[in-house]
Amino acid sequence: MAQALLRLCCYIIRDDFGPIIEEVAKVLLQKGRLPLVYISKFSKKSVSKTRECLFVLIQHNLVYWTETREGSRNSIHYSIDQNEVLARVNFGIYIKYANEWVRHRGADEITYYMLLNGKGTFNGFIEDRNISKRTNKYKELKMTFKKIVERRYLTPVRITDSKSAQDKASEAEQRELAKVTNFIPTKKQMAEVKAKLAAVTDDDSVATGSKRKINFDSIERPTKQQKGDDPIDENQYYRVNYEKFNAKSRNRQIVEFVKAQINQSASIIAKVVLDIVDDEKPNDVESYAISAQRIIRSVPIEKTDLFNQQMQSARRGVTREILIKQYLDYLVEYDDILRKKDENMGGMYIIRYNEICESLKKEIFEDVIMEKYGFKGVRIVRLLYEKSKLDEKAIVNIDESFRSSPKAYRINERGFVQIQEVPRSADRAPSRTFYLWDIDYKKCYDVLLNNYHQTLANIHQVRFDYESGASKTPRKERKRRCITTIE
Amino acid sequence: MVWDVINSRGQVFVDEIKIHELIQEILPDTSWEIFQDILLNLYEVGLVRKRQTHDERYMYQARSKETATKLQALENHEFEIYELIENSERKGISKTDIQKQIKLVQSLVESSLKNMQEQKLIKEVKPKTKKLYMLFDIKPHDESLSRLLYTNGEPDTFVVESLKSICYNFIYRRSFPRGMDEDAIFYPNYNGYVTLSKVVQCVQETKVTEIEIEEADIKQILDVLIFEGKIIKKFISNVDPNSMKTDDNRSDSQFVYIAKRARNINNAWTQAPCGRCPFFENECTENGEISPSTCIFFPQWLNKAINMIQNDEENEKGKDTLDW
Repeated sequence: MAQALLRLCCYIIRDDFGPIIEEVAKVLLQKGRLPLVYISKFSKKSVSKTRECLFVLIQHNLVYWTETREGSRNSIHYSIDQNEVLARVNFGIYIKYANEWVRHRGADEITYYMLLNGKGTFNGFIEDRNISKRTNKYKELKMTFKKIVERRYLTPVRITDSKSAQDKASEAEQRELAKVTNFIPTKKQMAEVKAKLAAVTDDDSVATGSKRKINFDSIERPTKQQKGDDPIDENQYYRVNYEKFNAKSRNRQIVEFVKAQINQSASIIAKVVLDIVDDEKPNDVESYAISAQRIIRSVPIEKTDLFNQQMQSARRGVTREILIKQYLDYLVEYDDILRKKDENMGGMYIIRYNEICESLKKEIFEDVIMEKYGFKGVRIVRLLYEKSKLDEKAIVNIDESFRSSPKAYRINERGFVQIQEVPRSADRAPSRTFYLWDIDYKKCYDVLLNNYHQTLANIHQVRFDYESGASKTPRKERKRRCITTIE
Repeated sequence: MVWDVINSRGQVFVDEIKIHELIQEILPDTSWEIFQDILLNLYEVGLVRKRQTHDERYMYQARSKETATKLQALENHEFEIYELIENSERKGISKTDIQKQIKLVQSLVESSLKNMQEQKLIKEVKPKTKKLYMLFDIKPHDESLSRLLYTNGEPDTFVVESLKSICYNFIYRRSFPRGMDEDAIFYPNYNGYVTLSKVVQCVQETKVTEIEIEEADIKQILDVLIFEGKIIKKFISNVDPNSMKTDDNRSDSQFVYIAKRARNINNAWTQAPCGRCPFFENECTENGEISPSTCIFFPQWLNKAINMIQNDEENEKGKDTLDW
């Protein structure tokens, strides 16, 4: 599992930065948190070269560093973040849709510049493009930049960002422990400190029940801003906020899902709803409630004809409001895409992101099963999912084709389906044990994700082979080897 | 007369309160005690079956007069055995189960069974080499296999597939409005979706087969379609506040079947060669004999993509030249 991921990360870094930096990154990925001397030793490069590589990786937000006190010296440790490396795969999508999501021209250029350089300033961007400050384009780009920062597509880089989350947590723990005792802490003291830190944590990606923690840094209500209010610091370094872009990408997938499952009108309404809740923190479990009236106001009027054509209403001549409300109720009924919270102001609707994401994952998984194993495979998988553990007899009772094609479920065994033994006698004889089939969708998603990582790594390998002048074995030789292996 | 009333309800168990109401319509001023006496008499004579609900009320079902006369000739213990067999209905009950519940000597049980068989009250069936006893005039559950879908113990794939497509097409036609856009849907809370009985009716009308089509068979077919992801089953409850009828109004709240739109499967992984390669999971490694570098499927896939892009470019160029 981890092997495929490691291989993929190395290929991604080689793709973007070259083989020398790849060696350094590989050491960090394999060994974890290390000081400079060890990194250069393991990667077999000189200290200065290693330092330069690390500098590049830090600039691109891939490596974290932190200075710790060990005895009488200070040493600097470096660690790499795998998620940051994987995020680079999506850069193409971010640039392609930046204009559409930010709704301002020039957003894709700014995003491109930021992604290319890891971190950047507005002044740096302007100089890079050689845009004069007196042109209209400059004003336009400045406005776009302001919007991007306001909506959190770019986040300012703080000094503390150079430390990884783990380092920050351990520093906080050390500080708390220092308050309690000067010596080595006891188990009880450690537990107290940890509990205290967990309660006070600044991590606002965790939703506490239905109320969200108020984080005064980032109140997102779209307030009316006066002109000249809050100017953007042109020399402040910013970086791309992957979470925000990923959330928009997720919303796009949800709209596609609705379009495929229901129809285009429903997808337009879903898009409108998702755009309204755009200001939310990306990792919330559910969005805040929006009133039906606000949704009705935001739906484009020219689409009303399409809405009329695509839904047969209970009676003729319904108004636009009623039509849109019908669509909203349909989305509530259909698989809980929206959920109705209460009836204030014509109905308040919320989106439960977790549940929709589960539906999306389920659809992808069932598509893969369908393509690989056909209708029979899909039947078995869905049957086991709904009815949980079943033995062969029970499965045959429901789905008779099982009996005549046991191959179907044997093939399925490749990590998707598990067997649980329930012995009837003390000696666990196979003739007297029940064998129950079971499926766990979460495990299946992990298997699938691992396959995806492996495939991506394979594609990278093929590409590097082509670039380096094709592989050494000629084509005929390759074919012969494959055929002998099949035989 | 009471027996006539119970018999008129058919082969179902009827609540005693319900029977009392119906009796009141015909013969008013029949008190509860007299009514209970009559029921008790009928039970002793053998004209009704008795069953107790979980609310400690009783429900009754009529038996035919011929059976009742035969039952009167039986001994008490034989009567008990008969009741056990009757309650097993279509499933049947084995001798060991009877003995567990009756607690009589084995020889006595055997002789009673023989006696009843001679009188043609019960019969012996042997699904899967196990002896079961059931009432004489009931069709056995037939090894839980349906005559329609199975031949010689194996599922008849042709029949199953054709029934599946008939049911699916019928449900699909009724799930989306006609005469509108091809992607149109019904409004929420629409109650014209298809129910099980309507599907059964449709299949019967097509006269696809001479064998009698039962609801259980069609339900199995629809379950298969649900597991294939083609239709979904929903529970619709349309409680009509105006109607106060309590008898058999189950048609207001029941399951309906709605078809899902057919969609193209567009999974990225299965489009890549690794998604379809038989060696992907175990044999293919980075530097092994089978590896992406030595893969024969990748060049085919990449060439295909290159050809597609080149064709697209040529088509666009062609369009330009035609324009002027």
